[in-house]
Amino acid sequence: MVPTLVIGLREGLEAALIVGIIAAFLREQGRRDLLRAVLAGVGAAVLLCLGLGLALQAYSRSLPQKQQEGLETVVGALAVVMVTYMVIWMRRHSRELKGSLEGQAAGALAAGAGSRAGAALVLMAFLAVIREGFETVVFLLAAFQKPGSGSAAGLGAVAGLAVAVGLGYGVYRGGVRLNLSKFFRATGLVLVVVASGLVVNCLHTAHEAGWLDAGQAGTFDLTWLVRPGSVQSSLLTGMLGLQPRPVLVELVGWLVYLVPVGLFVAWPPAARTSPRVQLRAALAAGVAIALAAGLLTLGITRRTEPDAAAAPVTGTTIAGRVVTVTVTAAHGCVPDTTSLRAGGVTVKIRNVDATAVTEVEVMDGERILGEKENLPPGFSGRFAMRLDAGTYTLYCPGATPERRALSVTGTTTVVADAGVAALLAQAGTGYADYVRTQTAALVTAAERLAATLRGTDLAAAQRAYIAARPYYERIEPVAESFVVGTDSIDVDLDARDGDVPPASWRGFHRIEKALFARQTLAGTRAYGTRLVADAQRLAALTATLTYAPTELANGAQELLDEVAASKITGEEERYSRIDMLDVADNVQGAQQAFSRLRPALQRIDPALATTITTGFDALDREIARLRTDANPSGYLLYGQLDAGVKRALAAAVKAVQEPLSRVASKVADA
Amino acid sequence: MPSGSSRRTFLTAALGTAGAVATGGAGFGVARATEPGPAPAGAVVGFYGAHQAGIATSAQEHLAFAAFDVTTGSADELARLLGTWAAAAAQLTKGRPVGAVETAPDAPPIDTGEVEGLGAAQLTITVGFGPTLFDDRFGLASRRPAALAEIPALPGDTLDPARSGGDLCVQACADDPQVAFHTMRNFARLARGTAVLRWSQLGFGRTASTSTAQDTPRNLMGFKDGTNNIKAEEPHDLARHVWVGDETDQAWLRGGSYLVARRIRMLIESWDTAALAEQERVLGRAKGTGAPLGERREFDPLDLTATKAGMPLIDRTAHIRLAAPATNAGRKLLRRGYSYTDGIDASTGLLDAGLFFLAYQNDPVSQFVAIQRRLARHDALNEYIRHTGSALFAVPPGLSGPGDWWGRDLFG
Repeated sequence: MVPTLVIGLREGLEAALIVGIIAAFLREQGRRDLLRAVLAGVGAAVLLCLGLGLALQAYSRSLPQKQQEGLETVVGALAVVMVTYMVIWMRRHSRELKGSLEGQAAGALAAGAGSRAGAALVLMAFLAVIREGFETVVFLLAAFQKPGSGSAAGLGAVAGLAVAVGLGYGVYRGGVRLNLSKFFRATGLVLVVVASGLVVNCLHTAHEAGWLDAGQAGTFDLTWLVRPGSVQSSLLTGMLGLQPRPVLVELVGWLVYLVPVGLFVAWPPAARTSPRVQLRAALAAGVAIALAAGLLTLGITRRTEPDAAAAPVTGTTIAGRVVTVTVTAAHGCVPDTTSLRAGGVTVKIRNVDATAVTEVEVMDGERILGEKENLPPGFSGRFAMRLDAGTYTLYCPGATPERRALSVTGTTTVVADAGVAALLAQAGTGYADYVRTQTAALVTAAERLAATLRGTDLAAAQRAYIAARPYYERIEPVAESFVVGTDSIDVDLDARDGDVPPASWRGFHRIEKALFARQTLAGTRAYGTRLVADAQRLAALTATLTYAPTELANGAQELLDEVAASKITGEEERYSRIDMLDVADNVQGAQQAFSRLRPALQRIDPALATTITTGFDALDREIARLRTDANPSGYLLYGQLDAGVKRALAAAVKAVQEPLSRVASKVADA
Repeated sequence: MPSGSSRRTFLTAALGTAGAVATGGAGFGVARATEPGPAPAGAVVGFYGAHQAGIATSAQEHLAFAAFDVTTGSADELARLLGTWAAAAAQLTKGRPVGAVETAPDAPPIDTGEVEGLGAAQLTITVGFGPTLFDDRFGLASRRPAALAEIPALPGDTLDPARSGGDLCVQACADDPQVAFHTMRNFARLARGTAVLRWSQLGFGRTASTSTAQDTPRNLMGFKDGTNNIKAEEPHDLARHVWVGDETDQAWLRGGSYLVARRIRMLIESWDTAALAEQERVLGRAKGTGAPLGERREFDPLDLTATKAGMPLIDRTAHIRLAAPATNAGRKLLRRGYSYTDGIDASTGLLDAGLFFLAYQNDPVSQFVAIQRRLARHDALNEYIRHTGSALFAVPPGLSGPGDWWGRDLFG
């Protein structure tokens, strides 16, 4: 809470002071008319900054785990640069701030009379708030991404901003006189400490993004002093920005930033020598620390190397967060360490010569946490996931031996994962909603079709048939699952001529044959009524249904099987020839099921998730080529397809089917 | 579409509670077929070596040949496919399944499984690169050997584009047809999303002998063809006519070869109504013994000057004369063809059968193209055959060991 409060107060105050001074100046000049415009400019700037913050946050959420870490690193680094620049700049210019501002305002007012002068001042206030606001947003965003933040951090930011606005108002009223120099030095010091915490956080996220692997050896362990989760621990990480068990590169980064910049800012004004000397002293301190850190690195690396090669020793070994796995035919999967530190762990793999091994997984019990496929001999790869303390299995199917234990110690220093299990639960709920909307629409469309069958307009009935099909094709596997004895709702709704004895044949295709082959409405009325009843039965049966993740995966797969087995061959819509409409809706249904699994799969196997998404995109492009406005269905009729088109479509379907077939096992025990 | 869709069961059990049933308790990886152990008994041809197996290897009885079009635009994905194929080939040629034996209940088995227990059956897997692979997609344009140019149109060609060309080829030869087919099937599966089958050809009986230990087989015309083929025991001939040497403009191909594939349909119904004397005149050999006309045994030397009653014993247009190295400036091919049939021609009811001609050489321009151009103009056999498919591939050298893969020098 404290760091965000300081950020809010400090950044807010800068903007509030500028606006306050401009406002006070305007009052003195007797231009109160312009005050409202200035405030409007301020409001617009605040809204813009808020929007930017929300957009950045949303964009970050939409990214896969690894890219999210990358974005956090960039935002964090930006924040560190900004705060450093700002602290140093303010330190130098705080005294002249008021005078120079008033000079500028007077200049602006003098430059032109009336509306142009007003516009200049409004712009000044707007720009001041935008600049500070942008800094605040980036800075707060970075601070929010730090561990342990949450509502307290938000509260801190709001409180800080409120105090700042209050002070700004005080300046405006003329009742508040601040020793700006002292104020900025004190808050500047706090900010330097906060920024050094951001440096540590940046280095951490950079590692998780896969950009930084050096210096991941452990250093010291303060967990005996500050128990994880305790108040002291929050103080240590929240205020000082240091973790109880920093890895080497984090400790070095923290020191290299904190000491020189802190010295520069804290230097008492009385003892102020020339800025050049100060800068030199600070640089010298930085270099000295960097050298010391380098030596420390060497020492630690030397010390841990034999440990890593030896048998797993937990407790005494200082664990890092990178494990390099070498796969050979002779020794199977060999990790260079079996002891890891909790948090974002990176597994790097190189397959030397194991021809039977093409993938490596990390499992918690029987649940896959992360994996990399397509690793034949001669190729390398990597994957990352978050691990809490515990014992895991490094699993290399086909290797001898196949399984090795990995032990992870320490506490996770990151905000708790939303959880793959929670994401999968959401997937089931989301898909259930989707099925309900489709069955409801199916009932409505069946009712419309039944109504046209009672009328005399053949063309209208044909259009109603075409309009009803998509709702069924999108969720067909759900209907196929209802087989009770010899009664199958899929057969009732969707049997083709010859699938069942002629006496019991009803459903869509019976109507289709009359409408499109025999071109008549005669005798269809009863089938329309039955169709509505069957659709209602399906809606009732699915109303309370829930779905397991494997069912979503298999359902998506089954829809693609439909496409490959009976749609591309033109066996489904024998009379209306609208098979390509069915294809589009089968694929859409499959995408709906998959898209709900995707957030979880993104965590488990991002490469596979990407492959399938790319495959669906390519398939969509193939389907788009089949569109035409010339037909009521919106798609080419089956007879209008040439062999090349069918072949390309089939290949695009297979390119999704193959990776999709691997999804069920990944979400099975998660 | 309700019929027979029980392969996967979506919502296996009753409402609501179905979820856990499908997977619950089964866990991951409990159903293990066999531990990876020693290869099953069965003849194994070594996969690694200076040259790819399947060229100078004694011709096996069956063939499954596949040409692929690469669909990805990514050189890295293509490289990974070739690496994955190399790993799979190393497994399959030892009689082992592709990838791990692991079978997870919720995932399709990695290997399709139909050759379990059949052994290696002398399986060889040979991979080649078509001219189209060296276009601008993968940055390989500068690595294309000059000799890897599309085969020019030759007189009498009736080529079907759908049976010609391809970015990649895979030749799988084995003594068991299922073992050969299994390779094509699993390679196509491993390629999903990266490459698609363009065309394929099964061959059911070898028509060439590539070893002195093998008899010369008969082709579907009932004749021994290829008696004077290059044999594995003739290293000098292999070096001179088959393996690409230092003369190549592309170092990566050194130790490799060029493969010409031609689908040659025989009009066997017409052939079967030709008199024996006509058949022997066309081929230039005796049908029974396989000996050149005028000689007594199959391997008797060919005497192209022999005459009878002022007429040449071997007709001027006889296949054996026009194809003989002596009339082709000494040029020879290593032939490795197979008989094929693809059922009947639906429009005529005639059998679609013939020879799937495969020939290895180190210079397709002066070897296959030159010889075929001559044959296509004058060969008496032309009356009974049609060339319906054609492709040329550069076949890279053999892989040095696990971790090496086809084209590593190209992509590395």
